[in-house]
Amino acid sequence: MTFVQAICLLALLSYLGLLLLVGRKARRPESRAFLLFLLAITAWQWGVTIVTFTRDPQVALFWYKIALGLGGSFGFFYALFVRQFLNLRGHAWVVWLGALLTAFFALWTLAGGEFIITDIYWSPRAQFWLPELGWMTYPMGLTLYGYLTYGMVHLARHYRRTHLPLMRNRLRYLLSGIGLVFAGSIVNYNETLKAYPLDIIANVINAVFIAYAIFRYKLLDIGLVVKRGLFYFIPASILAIGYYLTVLTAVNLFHAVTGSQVALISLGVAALVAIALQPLYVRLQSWLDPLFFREKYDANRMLARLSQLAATVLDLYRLTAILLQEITATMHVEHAVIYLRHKESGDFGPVAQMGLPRPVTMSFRPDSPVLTWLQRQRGRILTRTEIEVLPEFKALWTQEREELESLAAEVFVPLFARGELIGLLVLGPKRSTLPYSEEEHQTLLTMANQTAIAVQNAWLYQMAVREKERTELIIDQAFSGILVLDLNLVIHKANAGATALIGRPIADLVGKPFTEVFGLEMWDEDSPLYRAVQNGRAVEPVESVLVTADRRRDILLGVTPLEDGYLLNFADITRIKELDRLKSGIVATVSHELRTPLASIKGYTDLLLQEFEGDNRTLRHEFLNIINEETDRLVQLVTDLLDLSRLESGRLERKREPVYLDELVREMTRMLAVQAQQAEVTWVLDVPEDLPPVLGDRTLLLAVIKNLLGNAVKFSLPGGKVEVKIRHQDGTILLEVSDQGIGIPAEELPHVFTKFYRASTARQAGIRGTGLGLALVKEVVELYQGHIEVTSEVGSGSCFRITLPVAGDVHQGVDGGAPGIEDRKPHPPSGSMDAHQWVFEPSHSDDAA
Amino acid sequence: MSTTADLIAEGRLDEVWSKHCGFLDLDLNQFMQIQRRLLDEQLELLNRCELGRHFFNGRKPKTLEEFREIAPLTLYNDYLDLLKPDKAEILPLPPLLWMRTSGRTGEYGPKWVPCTRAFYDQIARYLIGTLILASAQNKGEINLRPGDVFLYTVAPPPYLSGTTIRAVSEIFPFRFVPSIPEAEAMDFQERIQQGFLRSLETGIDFFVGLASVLLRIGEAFAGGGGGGMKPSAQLLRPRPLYRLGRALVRSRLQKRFLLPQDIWKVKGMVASGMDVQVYKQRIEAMWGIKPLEAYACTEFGTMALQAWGAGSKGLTMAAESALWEFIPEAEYRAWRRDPTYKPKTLLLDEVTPGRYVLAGTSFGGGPFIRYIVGDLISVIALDDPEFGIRLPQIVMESRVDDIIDMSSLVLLTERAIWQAIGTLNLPTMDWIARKEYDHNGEPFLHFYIEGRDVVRDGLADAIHQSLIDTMEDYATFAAIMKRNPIRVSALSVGTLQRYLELKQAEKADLGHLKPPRIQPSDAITERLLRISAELAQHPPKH
Repeated sequence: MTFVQAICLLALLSYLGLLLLVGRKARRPESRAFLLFLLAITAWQWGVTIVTFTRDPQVALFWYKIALGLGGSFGFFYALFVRQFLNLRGHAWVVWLGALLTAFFALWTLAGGEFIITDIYWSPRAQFWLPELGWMTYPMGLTLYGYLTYGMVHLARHYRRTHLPLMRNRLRYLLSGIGLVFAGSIVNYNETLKAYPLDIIANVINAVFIAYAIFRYKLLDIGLVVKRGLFYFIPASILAIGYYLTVLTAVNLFHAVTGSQVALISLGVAALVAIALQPLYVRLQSWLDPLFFREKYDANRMLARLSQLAATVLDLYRLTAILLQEITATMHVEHAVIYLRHKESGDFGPVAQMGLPRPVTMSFRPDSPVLTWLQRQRGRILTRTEIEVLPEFKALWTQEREELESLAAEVFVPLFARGELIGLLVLGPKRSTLPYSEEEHQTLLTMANQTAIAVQNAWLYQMAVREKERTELIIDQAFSGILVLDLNLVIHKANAGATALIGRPIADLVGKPFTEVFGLEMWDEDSPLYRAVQNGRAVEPVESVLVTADRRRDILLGVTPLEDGYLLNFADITRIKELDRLKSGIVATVSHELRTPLASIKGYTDLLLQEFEGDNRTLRHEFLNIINEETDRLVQLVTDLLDLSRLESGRLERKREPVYLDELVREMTRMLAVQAQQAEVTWVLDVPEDLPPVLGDRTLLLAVIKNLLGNAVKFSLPGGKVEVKIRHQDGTILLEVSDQGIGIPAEELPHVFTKFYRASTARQAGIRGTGLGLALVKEVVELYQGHIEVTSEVGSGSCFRITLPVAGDVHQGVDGGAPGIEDRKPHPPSGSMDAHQWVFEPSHSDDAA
Repeated sequence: MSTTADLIAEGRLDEVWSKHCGFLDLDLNQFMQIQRRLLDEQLELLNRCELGRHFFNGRKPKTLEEFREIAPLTLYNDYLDLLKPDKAEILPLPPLLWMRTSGRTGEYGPKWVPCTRAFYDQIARYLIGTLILASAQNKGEINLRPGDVFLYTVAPPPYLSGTTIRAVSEIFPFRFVPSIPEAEAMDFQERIQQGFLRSLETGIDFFVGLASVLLRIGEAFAGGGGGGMKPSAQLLRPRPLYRLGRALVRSRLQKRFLLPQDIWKVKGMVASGMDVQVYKQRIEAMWGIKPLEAYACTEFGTMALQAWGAGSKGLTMAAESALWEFIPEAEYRAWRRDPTYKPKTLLLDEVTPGRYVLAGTSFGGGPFIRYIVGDLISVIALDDPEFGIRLPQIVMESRVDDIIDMSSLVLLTERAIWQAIGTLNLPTMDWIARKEYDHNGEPFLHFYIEGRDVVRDGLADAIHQSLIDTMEDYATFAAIMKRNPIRVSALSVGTLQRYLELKQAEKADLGHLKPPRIQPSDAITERLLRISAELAQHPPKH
């Protein structure tokens, strides 16, 4: 066989193969037109192939006529195919004219071929017969190439217009193939070149291109037909060959010669082959399955794996991650996202994604047309194109469209569980850029049906786990103690609050009987736990006493019976009880301090009204003085209370101005001079002249000095001394006030700065007071980063020392406010104790009034 | 995203239909879901912008119900200080461009309307849908092809129609004759002239224009005038010669004058104007195709379309153009009398057959809030079983204020008058109508009619009778009044054209070139009568 013959045979077989494939599914107009084109080009190739094999000139002439007569129409059929393929309408005359010319030339050639093939001659170079072409081949060629050009121009124009990658690929192969045929066949008009089979080579390439476009880019949707054909053809052929060889062997073995002998042997062999080769046939099919139906095969395997996975994995993240991995890997998808419905809001949010560079933030509102459509079209997959074209998707917001665009989703697979849409699987484009086939839609739906319930279970499980973790966190972090006992009243679980209250670590509690930890007192007949165990009902919290190794605590204890034990909830109310006691004391003190001056005022007022209606001016003056003094005491008490309350609540604006403590001391000793004289107390001042100032509120600091000096005078014994000493040392000002008074018991010293606390020595001596002064002093000193301490001895006196930082060491101005705010309110005049002139924050300006 | 041209090329014609004409397949629930959802989006945008705050008076409606409760009904007057290109920052979204349309004489100048990206896409998509419907005889039929020749006789940008043409050119490869840049540089008459001249070379696949223009060109052919085309070198080229020769043979074979249908085989024709209904059949006789009716306005773009083959009696509303509210006519009039009155409005799923004034709220960041378009429409049916349409069908009656009230018994609209005139089979004509009073103070309906051989004895009685036959209210009115309130006066032929030319010379706004057909002012009527008298004395030489 020569090279030319081999090429011709190859081209013929290629076209026959294509013919077979296309012919089996030529239902659409473009498929039918393409079939006509293939028929024509196969006829051409058939004729030429026979010519290359024949030595008989008559046979060669006949087949040249066939080749030209039938094959010459392929240009027209190609144009027809292009018109159908591109949906071209109009210019119907092009079709009619082409049909007319093609029919005419075909009939003319087949009928005799005058002026077309005038003669043939043997070409020593080509080694086959070549035709002498007549003048009519020129108009005939013009028609052929004219229609080829028509088709190519339209394909090229469409190629330029379309931007769809799939379409462009189809067009690229169609154009390249037919371009080669065009160029290859035109060389036949050249005497030198026509001896070479360039046109035939071009035909082979064209056939390959067309086949590639069909398989790779679904030029005509016949891929499945082809695969099925091959799938059955190969095992059948192998079986047939096996059968034929066996029969041949058997015939030779038995020396069968007659027809009946051969038939008998064939039947026997057929029966044996059918039995013996059955396993081989099955095995063959299992080998061929992944070979020809790779995608389907992979998909089935994926479904099997996912099915197994769905039954075993409860971890949502693992499940969804594997799901996405399987799908993207098996179906060659660029990216994928799983959405699940949020229980409360109904929104569908992303829970897992793969292949996207950034985390997906887009979620679907419950009324999203995407969800509405999927719910309505139960069991269908939504595609991107449907979103683009279906009218109901006009309801999408612009933002939603943009988000969908950025999601680059190709298909939306619904996840239905128990008849409810619980999620979505969103898949991006395939890496091949091909659209998802119907078969793939089916695979995805099957996968969705298999995994939806598993995904939902995992989702619910995760929610339950989260809820459990949350609950445990709440229990652990609760201040109150929580204990879980089993039915035998053994501690099963304890939280941090319980261990703190009981004062034992968890390990020391768990596994211990309740009574061992709490003592038998907590298990008497009135105890909440006993009642809960007896009644089987929850016991409202009641006050109890918890006695542990080192202390005794007041607690509020409630018990709730559980299915398998008891929940003990208890809170420490020791401090509350203490405060309650303190409150009672305070109420008593304040009541007393209020009532005493009020009673005095009331008594003297009554006397003034009833007894002294006459003109005893002296007595009246004396009574009024008493009333005035008692009123001052009341005012002082209320002022102290208010000041202290403000200091403690932090509502007081921390004013910072330079204040000279020595000035304040001198001022205050002048103010208290009368009081000191009455108490027969002498001042001893050790106050240098050039002390630096401290930063603070002058009025507040004056109140501090007044309290310290006032107390020193008040609690001094007659003839005693009150020493006031001021020093500048280590960046602080030290003020020391000492007296020779009644003193404070050592054990009471830690309490002297507590509100309403009064030392026992003062109470015993009958010296009146509110217990607020020293509390106020401490608050003010600490407000300005100072420090206060006291030393005392009963009967010898007390010494109070305060230190405050000097002005250079702290910032000047107002905390949180602009410096110089104090300029708005002038300093109180020297000696004034009007604490109401303190500057408060603007929002509380009413309080200052 | 696949373009329409791609889908056509790939033979995915069902998807093309769905994309552009799918609105005809919606049911009421789907329609309302689109309306509600897009309103939600619009409310989010309005609640964030100054324009929204202005109309909502500081409140923030969240639902359709709250919106209808809070937002007032608006007219263009309400937007005069708001819709200005230099105040775009107050709008819900920045506009892509600004469109204009004619204003209202004595009230305000041209209306300026911002066009958002969504609006721009929507008008283009609907025009393609309109062309598909105009060229289809059956549901799902797509006769649109890339490269189709598109002839249009509409106003240039920044008018809506010109903007729409430009938007369409960006998404579908039509061959426009003349090309868009050329057309935009020509005046209206020249564009029509050049369009038809060039289409002798290219043919016409689609035509969009005013019904009156289509009719006039057809009549010019039928009258042997060659469509008014002036002899030109362009006519001497092979294609026009072939086309004209073939048309001539066709017309001679049928023993009649040359008609446009002999020259052009138009695939789809879209006509606008109140007179489409009346001239439809005559246009079909001349062009060989029924024009499809489209209802659009600058504020909302395409509002409603007729079904395929221009066969349906009514038009179907477009769901995504705006939120549509229907104000019953009586409610509207009560509101006009007393602006403090709060008229009841109905949504599309609440309407029943009857007359309504339409109000719309823009979607996609447009500016209009419960804006009264100013058209009186009729809901003629709640569906159209013949075409399988499950949405209410509407027809446009007239501009809501263009109404002649006869003794409060009958409200005559332009459409009603056209319908009555249409039954008389009169030659082509034009008219204006006014309510006037005689020396006894009796009102009468005065028709001023222009047309060759139209005004004749008994015409007033014929119109009167036709109105009785076609309008129930008018029949009642006639029975009560027991007199014919119609008078007819003739205007010289060419009066309206002359008026138009004079207005053009005065550089009048495009919307005011023609006199209003209903209730023109005294000044306009007097001017028309003066022109008519001049033309009677000095008829134009043709």
